[in-house]
Amino acid sequence: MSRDPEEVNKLTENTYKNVMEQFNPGLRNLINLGKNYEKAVNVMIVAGRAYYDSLAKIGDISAGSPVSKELGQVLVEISRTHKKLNDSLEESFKKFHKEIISELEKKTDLDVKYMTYLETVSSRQSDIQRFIAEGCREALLEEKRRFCFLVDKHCSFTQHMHFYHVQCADFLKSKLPGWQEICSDATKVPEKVRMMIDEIRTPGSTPVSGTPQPSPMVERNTVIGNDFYPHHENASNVPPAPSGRAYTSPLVDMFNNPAAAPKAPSEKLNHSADSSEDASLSRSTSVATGLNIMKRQKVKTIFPHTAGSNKTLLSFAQGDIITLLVAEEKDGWLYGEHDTTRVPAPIRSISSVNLVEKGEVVLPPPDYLGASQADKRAESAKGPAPKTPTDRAEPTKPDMNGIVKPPFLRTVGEPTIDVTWLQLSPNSMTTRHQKFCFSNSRNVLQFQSLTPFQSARWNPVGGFCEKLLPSDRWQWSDVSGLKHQQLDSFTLPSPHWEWESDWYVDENIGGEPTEKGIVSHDDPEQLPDPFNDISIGGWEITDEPLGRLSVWAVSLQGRVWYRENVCHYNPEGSTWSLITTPGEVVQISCGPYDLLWATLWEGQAIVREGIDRNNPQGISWSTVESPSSENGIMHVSVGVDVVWCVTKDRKVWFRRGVNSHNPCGTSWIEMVGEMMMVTVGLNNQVWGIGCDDRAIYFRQGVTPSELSGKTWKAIVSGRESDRSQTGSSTSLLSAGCFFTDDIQTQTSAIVQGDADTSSDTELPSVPTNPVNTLPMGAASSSSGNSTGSQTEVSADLTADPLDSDQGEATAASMSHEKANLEMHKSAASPNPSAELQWTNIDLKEAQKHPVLSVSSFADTSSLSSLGVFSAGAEDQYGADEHPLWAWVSGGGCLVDLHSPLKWFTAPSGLSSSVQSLSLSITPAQTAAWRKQIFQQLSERTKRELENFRHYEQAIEQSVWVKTGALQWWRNWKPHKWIDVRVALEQFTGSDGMRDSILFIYYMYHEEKKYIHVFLNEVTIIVEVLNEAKHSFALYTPERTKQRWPIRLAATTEQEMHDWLSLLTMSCCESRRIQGPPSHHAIWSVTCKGDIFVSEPTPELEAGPQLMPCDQMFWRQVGGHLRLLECNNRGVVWGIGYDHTAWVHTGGHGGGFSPGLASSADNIYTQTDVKCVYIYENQRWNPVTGYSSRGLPTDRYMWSDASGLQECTKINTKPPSPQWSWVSDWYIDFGVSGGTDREGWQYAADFPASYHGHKTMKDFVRRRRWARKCKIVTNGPWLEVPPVTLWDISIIPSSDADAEAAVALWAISDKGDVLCRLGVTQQTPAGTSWLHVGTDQPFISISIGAFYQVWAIARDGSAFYRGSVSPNKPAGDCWYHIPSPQKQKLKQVSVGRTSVFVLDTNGNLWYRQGITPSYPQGSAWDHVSNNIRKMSVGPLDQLWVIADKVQGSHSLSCGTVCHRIGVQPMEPKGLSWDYGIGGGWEHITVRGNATEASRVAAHDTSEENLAVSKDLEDEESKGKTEHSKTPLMVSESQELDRNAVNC
Amino acid sequence: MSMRAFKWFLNSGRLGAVTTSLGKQKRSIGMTDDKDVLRDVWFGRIPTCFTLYQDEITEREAEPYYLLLPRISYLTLVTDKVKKHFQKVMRQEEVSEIWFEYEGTPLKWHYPIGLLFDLHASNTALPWSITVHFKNFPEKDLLHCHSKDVIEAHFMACIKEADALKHKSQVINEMQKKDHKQLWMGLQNDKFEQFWAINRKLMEYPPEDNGFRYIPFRIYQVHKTFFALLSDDTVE
Repeated sequence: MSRDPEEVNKLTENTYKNVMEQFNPGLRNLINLGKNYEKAVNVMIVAGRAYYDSLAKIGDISAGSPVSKELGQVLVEISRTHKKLNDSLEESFKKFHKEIISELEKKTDLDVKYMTYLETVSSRQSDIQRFIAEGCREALLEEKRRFCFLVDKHCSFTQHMHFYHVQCADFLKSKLPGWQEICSDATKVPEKVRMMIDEIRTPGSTPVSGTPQPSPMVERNTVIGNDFYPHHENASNVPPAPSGRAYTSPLVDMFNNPAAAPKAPSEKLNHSADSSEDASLSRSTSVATGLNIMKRQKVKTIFPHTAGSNKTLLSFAQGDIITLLVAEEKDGWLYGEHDTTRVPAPIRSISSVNLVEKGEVVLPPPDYLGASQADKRAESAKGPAPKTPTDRAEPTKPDMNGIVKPPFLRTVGEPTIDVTWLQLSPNSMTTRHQKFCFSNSRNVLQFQSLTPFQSARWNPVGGFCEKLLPSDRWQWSDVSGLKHQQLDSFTLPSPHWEWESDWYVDENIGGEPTEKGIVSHDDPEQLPDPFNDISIGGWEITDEPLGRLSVWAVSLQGRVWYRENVCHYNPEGSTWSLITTPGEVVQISCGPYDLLWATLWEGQAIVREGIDRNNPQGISWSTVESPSSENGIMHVSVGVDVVWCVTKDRKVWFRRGVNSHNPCGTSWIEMVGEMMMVTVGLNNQVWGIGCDDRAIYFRQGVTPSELSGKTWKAIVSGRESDRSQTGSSTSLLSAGCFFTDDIQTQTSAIVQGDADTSSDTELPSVPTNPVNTLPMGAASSSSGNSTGSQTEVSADLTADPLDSDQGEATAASMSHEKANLEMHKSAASPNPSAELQWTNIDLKEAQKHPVLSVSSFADTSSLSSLGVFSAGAEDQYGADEHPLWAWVSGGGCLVDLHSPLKWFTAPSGLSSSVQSLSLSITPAQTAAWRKQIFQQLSERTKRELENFRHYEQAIEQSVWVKTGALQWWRNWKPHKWIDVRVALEQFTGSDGMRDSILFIYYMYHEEKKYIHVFLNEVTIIVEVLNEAKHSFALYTPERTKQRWPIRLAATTEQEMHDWLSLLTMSCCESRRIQGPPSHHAIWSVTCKGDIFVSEPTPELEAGPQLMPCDQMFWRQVGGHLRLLECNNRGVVWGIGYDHTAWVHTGGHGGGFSPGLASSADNIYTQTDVKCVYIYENQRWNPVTGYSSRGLPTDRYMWSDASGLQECTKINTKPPSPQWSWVSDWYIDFGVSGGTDREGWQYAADFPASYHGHKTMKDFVRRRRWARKCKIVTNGPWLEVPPVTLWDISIIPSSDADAEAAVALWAISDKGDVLCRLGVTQQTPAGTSWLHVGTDQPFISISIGAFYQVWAIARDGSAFYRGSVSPNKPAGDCWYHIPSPQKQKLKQVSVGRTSVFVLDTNGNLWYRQGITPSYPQGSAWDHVSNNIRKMSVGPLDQLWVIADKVQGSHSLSCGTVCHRIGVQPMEPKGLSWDYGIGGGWEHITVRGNATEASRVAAHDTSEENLAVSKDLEDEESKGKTEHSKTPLMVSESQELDRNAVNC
Repeated sequence: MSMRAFKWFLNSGRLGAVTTSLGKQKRSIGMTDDKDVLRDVWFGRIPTCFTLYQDEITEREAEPYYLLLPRISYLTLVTDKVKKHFQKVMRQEEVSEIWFEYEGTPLKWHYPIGLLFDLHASNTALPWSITVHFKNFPEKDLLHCHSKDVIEAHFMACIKEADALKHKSQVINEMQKKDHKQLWMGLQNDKFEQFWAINRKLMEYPPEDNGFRYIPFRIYQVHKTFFALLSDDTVE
């Protein structure tokens, strides 16, 4: 290779760097710019659309003139063409977005992952040259690919643009001449007109009236439509559609994705010129919605209107009947035909809108609640003050009705708060305005932010972008496919409305605004732009003046406004003040307390901080990131102390940890379900609109302790039109149940305003104008449902705003002092003799019901109690379809936690007997009944038990239970800690045996489940040290096999110890193990220093059925040790981490085990000290030499030994709370491999073998820092001073002479060999040390059953001590035994005859050729690798601690393994059996000399032998040592983190 | 004693034998969610005094034995102590199957204790005095109960019968053996939680089903065998 690999490497790295640091940021920038570009083009498109719409309208106007008819057509056509081009431009940009922006975005996201991956790959390249070259190529190619991609995408976009321009050119070229031609001759007059003019000129012709035809439109329709542009079949630029014409009801939006609804409001005249385009669309929708069968609606005028000079308007007298040709109100205009004169003309909707035709019912717009009715009523009471409608005055709203019928939840006269606020639907799609009303018991005011009619002010794009498209707009519009239709709803560029004009134009009664009336005097300069969203709350801010409210609004430009001085007696407030925000705000939500969240266009949420009584506006914003990086927050809703949000991918999130001190909360929790929006009610109850089915959902199980609730439950909201079929009885029933008061059925057609109200002139009131909101939907509903005389207005308080005959507004004055609630079921008949059933329900004393929330309504059928409005009552669609909801607001809804909600079952009507019967039992009845039962039961108990409590129970309640809350490392992926309830049930079986079951209850997909463990199956309960958790693991044989214990964590160490001791005790009890460990016990120590002991059974080492070692039961013994040695006489010694020697006192328990589980005496305090190590890593670079700046791929500069964990001096903590630091950090020079004078070890790279001096090839270095920590615990251990020890071995004596001395050899921590004298069963501590001289320090020692002493020197070689005997305990001399080739030995263990050694590389060797006459043996025989520690017992049984044992789920280090098949003829055994594992450090089996059934096993052992011989023969050909069964596993496999590791 | 009819609501998981007055009420499903009521029903106890029949031959005087009997259980299930107590004073060869009698009426062990009490003795002074017999087993009145397995079999049969009416046996059949065992063990060990953890399933129905198919209940009469009525949810 010509190039230096180093160089290539650098090149590769540079390339990646280049990509990561320059290309990618550039790309991100590009994406941002692209988005802006997109946005701008969108603006252009929308503006263009608006422009051409207007153009079309002008064209339309000109078409009215006979002369410029043609020009009008041209204009219309031009506008159409341009719109088409506009659309195709939009298409192009959609592609631009889809193909470039989103693609690139996706790429950049992926890129990070990919690059990291590549980098790790490249970091390995140093190993293999080939890879370097490939990697380099890969890198360069990758870079190129990137650029290619970019170029490619842009090429294709350019292609699109090119096509677009060509298209434009073609299109325009073909049309242009025609247009020019038409306008070429301004003097040219059409033939017809000329003839007409000629006729006029001609004397004797019919005199023409000087008055223009009031309505030439009918003729126009035929003439123009057919004669001139016959090819445009639908080019009816004429207003009133004949009956066949399908109107595009704005309601169609309801059945589409609301978010997909109009991109921009566009205005639509009655005679909209672009109807040709939307005709097809509306047809398709109207088919679905049944709009075609709409009947023409009739209205009755409520006051006279004289057209005056403007002859195009319709004149009429009060009470005239007008048939609406275009019933859809447009900016307050309707188009209708006088019933008597039959002259069609535009009329002010406001002036007339009062329905009526026989059998038809006008539904009041749901938007106008009782409050507004009350306004009206109150106002009417104020006294009439006639007022002529002025065109510009009314705050009419375009197609308010029907577009959104927000299902809303509301309170009725909320008594506790005394303020009801309703946030009326910000019909986020089409209407850009907001309304909200306040009401309280004294006055009722309505307060509207005006419709942004005015095109100039109205920034369609701004609004469009901000509100309509919090998420991907194209997606939505694709879904809806109704974009043209939305153009229609563009508001007319109406004259600038003025704030000085009244807010409430009420032509009905002509009420004049009172002083109190909301006449805004705001300086227009200070006015916020039109509102996008508004939210009211803050009435319960601590200590704030009573009645104060916070009103927050978001304008279309994304600014946040706060309404100053809003309070009960001044609900309109004074001025808007602008609150600066860190970005453009889309939506805002204000809780009843001090919580205020808003969402930004970019997808973050911002939280207002510092809101208190002095600062209701708050002080500052803080930003909360979206829960998911790709999808920003779309909608947020706050309650008292909860925050819910919906991200753009419709996921619902709950904010954890929100409270008044921390309004931002701590983290997001994803909730199940996908929602369009969510809303939070007064006591944190949550409603949402489902994303898929668009149904209203209620969050069940929201309680103060569980704010996030449990499940979503759909609220069944039947459609009114369905229910209306059942006639008034149903509605009466429901209403009656509802308010539990007088119900009157009247046959009168008139609902009179409440007399009290009318007389109450004191009421400050505001004129309101609900008339103009009269829903077209309502009207058409009645027409669609001609037979149903009653369309139930179920939602309690919505009353018909109009009371036709009297011309007086009726309203349910919920706010009236007397609090008479009236519910007007409106149906006005023009004909007094109509057999219409009128229902007037007077709701007396409604406020007596405390908390008039849903809870008190719950008894009734579902719908009414909720107060949900059906979406589109006018649509007769299939009964199985449920309404598709667009908006829900529960901000005023207080749900009583304890009352059952009946929203979830559909009232199936009177025919369903079962349902109705079950409904007939009201909760009140149930409660009474329950009380009765309860009473009877307690009486019975009293009678039967009171005097007999001293009697014996027939069934002993021996079962007892401990329950608690723990965390569980859950079984399924992604693995994490989840909260569980844990119950331990202990019971006495029929045989008097105690047994216990541990239940762990958890939630799985909202479902409660549990796992249970029989404690008599548990093999070990072991504490797992973990910095973050006080956790422990429960193993059963099965789980040991799986290396997958049940892991539980407690919140405190004490709690964990309680559980540990209880469970351990229960386990011991169920296995009937108690008292101190036997002499044969097998001891083991975990990596953490915990001591475990297991009682061996005879079957463990021999017998026809060998007991698998994963079935061994281990119990913990208190104390903390590094290693333990024992013999079969009960002499047990241990060595701590600080090398202190300890001797077992014969007790048991200690540690965490209190009381019975511990022996009463023999428990002493034990301490241990160990070091915690961290590594300081450095890399060499040519400039600065070694520095703490590594490569990006390098390990942490402060890490643990593996380099995987970052460990700094500061953040490293003692292993558990039981430990405490007893020193400061110091450099550790005692590292294997040696260090330089500063403690550094050098290596070529991480991770590699380190050496203590720097060479030319070394690029990294590390040094170890240590810090001592100390544990104080207790256990059955006594210190053996003063010598500190490194290793120890006790003779596994076979003779049973209790008095005989026990040989005990040890190695001091300096490496001296010591022999303990005076050790007996009675005095296990012995009396004194005898020093045995050596040439060099030793590290391991072992004494066999026949006084064979073997030792390992520090140089890794073995020594045999000759002539050791009871009489000569120290022996005479050492015989050197060379180690296996190239291996340094580290441990030796001698059993009865076998000698095994372990080298530093984890290989286990067996000493061959040992005979009594030649005890040193002849050669080493390899047995296995991956061994950490071993113990050979008096039966020559071999147990080891193995590393890297593969379980079914994971690999774990430090596993207890048992060599099986060990026989006199097969001393090395045959295979491994795996026991408890993960984190074991040491085991000793030297106490287990149970020889039972050894003989019985002989047969099988012979067989085994035979088998193994065969194997040997076979394998000998391949010269494989058959007994070498490696514990080998692939080194590259990582340790599974789920396993309990050390 | 009058021929008062007692309803024994199988559907309430055999917990419903509250009193006759309760029986008039329509039992709502919501009641099964009412832990307080369920607990009170479950932990109903009848103080009982067991005396040995005077004709039994004893070696020495037999003391009466006082016990609080759980209403929701079976006599032979909870009277091991009684048996042991009286066997101590009897000669071994005299001991055969134990049976109980109240005022001359042999008590059917396969009726729940609460039912037996309400049926026969609701008007007597407490404690309820039951006579213990070891001889002359009334073959025509009583079923033999040689072991607890018999009681378990009877109990499970009742549960299955009830579930057949309520859910076409769907619920009981979907349960595992260990659930059945838990149900029985809960009853046997007087373990409310354990019992209701399983029994709840038997009492549930999906809302769309509009309730149980039938509500199983039995009317017990003194000196007659009980009869069961098929009643669906809408009756009464």
